[in-house]
Amino acid sequence: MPSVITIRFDQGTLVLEGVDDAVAQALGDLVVADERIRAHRASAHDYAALLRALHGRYEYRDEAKAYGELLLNERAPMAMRPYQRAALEAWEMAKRRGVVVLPTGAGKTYVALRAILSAARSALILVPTIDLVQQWATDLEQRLDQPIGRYGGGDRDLQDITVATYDSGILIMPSKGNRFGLLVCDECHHLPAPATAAAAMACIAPFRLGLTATPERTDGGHHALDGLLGSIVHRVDITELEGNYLANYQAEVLEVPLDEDEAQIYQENRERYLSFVRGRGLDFSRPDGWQRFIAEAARAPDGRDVLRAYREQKRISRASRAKLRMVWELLRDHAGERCIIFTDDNATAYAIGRAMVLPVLTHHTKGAERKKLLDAFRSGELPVMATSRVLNEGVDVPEATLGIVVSGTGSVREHVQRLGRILRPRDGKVAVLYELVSAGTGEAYTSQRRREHTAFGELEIDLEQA
Amino acid sequence: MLTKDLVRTKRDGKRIVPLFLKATPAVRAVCEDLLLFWREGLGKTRGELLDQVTPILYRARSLVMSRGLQKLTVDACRFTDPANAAEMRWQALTASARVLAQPAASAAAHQATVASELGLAVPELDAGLYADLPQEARLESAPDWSADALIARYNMSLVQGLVLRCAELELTVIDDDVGRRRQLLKNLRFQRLLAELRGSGEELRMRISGPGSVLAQASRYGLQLANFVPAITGLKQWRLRAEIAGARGGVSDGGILELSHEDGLQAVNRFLAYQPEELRELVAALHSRAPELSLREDGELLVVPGGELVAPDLRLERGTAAPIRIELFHRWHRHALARRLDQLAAGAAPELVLGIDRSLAKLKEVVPLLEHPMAVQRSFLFSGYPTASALRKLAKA
Repeated sequence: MPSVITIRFDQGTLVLEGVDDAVAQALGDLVVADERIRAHRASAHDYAALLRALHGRYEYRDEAKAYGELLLNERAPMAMRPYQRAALEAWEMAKRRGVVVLPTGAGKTYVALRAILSAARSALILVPTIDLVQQWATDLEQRLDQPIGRYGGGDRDLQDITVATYDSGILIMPSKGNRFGLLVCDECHHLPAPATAAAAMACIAPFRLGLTATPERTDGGHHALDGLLGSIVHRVDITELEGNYLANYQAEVLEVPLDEDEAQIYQENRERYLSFVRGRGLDFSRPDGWQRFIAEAARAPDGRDVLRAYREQKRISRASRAKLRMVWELLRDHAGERCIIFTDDNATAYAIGRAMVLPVLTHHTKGAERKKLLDAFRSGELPVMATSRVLNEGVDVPEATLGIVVSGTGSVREHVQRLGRILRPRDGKVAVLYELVSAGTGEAYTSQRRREHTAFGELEIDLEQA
Repeated sequence: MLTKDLVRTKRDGKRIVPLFLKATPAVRAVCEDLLLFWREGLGKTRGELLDQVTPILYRARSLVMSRGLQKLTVDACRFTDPANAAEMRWQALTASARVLAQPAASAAAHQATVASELGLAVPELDAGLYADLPQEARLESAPDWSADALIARYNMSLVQGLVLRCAELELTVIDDDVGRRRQLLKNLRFQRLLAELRGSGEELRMRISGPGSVLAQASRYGLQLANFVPAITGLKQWRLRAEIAGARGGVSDGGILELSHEDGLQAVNRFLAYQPEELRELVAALHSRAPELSLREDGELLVVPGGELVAPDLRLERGTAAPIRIELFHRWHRHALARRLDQLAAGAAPELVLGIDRSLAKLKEVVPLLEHPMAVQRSFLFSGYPTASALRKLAKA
């Protein structure tokens, strides 16, 4: 007589006791014999598949599941936009698993809310930043008759519906990964990174929803989303919604020549650094190109000067005096408009903040002040804000109409997300994204790379090749 | 712990060999200069100090090495909380927003107008607006380590930086000292790691990994494994082997790490083989009252179903009869007690008896547990530490 199989949740995995050889064979790859505990072990993420394999065939006791069904009510149900309804239906058809790709500003949060209502299970929503924890939790509190937990940035309140940062998700999954039946991952292009992927693997939630505007990753990591959340079930491009559900927008590149003295310093330093690179046959297109450069510079007698030269030419191209003057000119041209100034690094953001007496939002900004500044920006009390990367994703600022990219990486995703910050629709709104590029510097190439997306013109390329 | 860009290694075939620092006069000089620099920098800002330290870093034969030494030193420094500039900033920003409605011709003119509205000079506004950034924090204290202590920390951090990238450790323990083994096992349990045990007597082979390591999720336990490494150095003799993944997640720059006690690694906070005074007194009392019994610290590990490692505290020998192994539960063990009773009920560890401190037994949530069949059959109460008479009763039961 075969014994009853017991399934327990154990530190982000499932332990199965009472599995004999015949059952183990039937369960195949789902379980692994764990000699250390004289039992079998399975990935928490395979919980649903495991129950399907056991159900009706073997007697089992499920001690893993610690979530229940929820009776949820939306306070004031809204009509879904057609593409939102199509996304939700596609997700439901795919057994409530999969990724929905919608442009920023298209109402992904509302799709998630309807998915939570549809699943009617305890739900954990993972988001990349503390600002988004607050934004999601506030939004859900307004729409649902349900306390909403917040986890991350000092908050440790776990409720049946909880919003947490990805970093907190990594910490809580080993102990709480069995408390949720639905896992929602906002900006889910973050998920394939090893640590965050492990968090999704350590959760037993059978229902999973990924949300993103930009699923593709240049490292090919987006393929892992299929296993972690399910495949893409619905996708809408930014150009399909412009003018109807998103604001009309213009994206303009402004070439800014360096001042004569800065141009000379730039050239001298660039030549100094490039001659070192060429002389040692370093190739930055190789994955270890940067590490090799640093290692060579650390060994070389003139390495310190080379590194200084590298930093100086980079500093000038990213934050030249001429660029800062151009920022001011644009602020004058668009006086009264709500504007976000994006930079690649904190130093430039603070340099602009000091020179123009503007609020700066970086990871150094403490929680309470961050909220105060964002609220003041939304209300118009502080109409202009500088930031390095923390506002790249997700934060909802419908009133912003103007974006100025002072510097950035070559990442298409970053650039599309920055555009997304100003695309929330409002009557008659035309959003403008300016991108400042130091003329005659290496920035031109970086700018070209990040604009290889349909949002910035006709050019459409395979992002895996980008 | 050193980050991967600061971990220095060389390759020897498939082996990754950490480039340990030897306490040569040149290395000592760099360490002493660095430590002195930071000790003398009390009151200066982090930003200033990081700018000024550069010449010392470049004086070393390897910049990666000196940056590693610097990281460990700065990690141990304490900085004051920077002045709270939030209030002044808010005043300045709201004033700036008002002025921005009709922007001046230049940013400089704008800044001057805002400064004037606040009654400040421009340099004051410029310096004060973001005066609370981390680089503005002032150094409050720096570590008083010797150069040798810094070198020891560096070498340990180097190993930990590598172990961060491994999925499991193969550890051979060549040490039959009960206390030291016990500390090792306690640390293993503290780090929530599991071990497959082989061997007996003086040599014990342990394959150490995390619960999910048998699945394809092994990398999650790197931090726990790295934190476990210092505990190993408390052993008399040991050998360690680990497969290190590539720094960029691939395998091309990965390899095998092999270490032993001969590498001279030292833990900063050594896990000492401490024997509590109460135990010494109890052993003596038991010897005088019941010489047929003998008591010692228990250094062997029990694995109970569910994978938990149990390290019984005491081992009561009673001639030819099977020894009784005793696990003591104090007030801070209340969560583990309920779990252990269930494990015993499931047939785990038949030789295990639980000692429950009365201060724990009085807790409201623990009282019902004393009715548990396993608590009735296989536990006894004590106050603070078991007595000789309690152990005599136990031996007769």
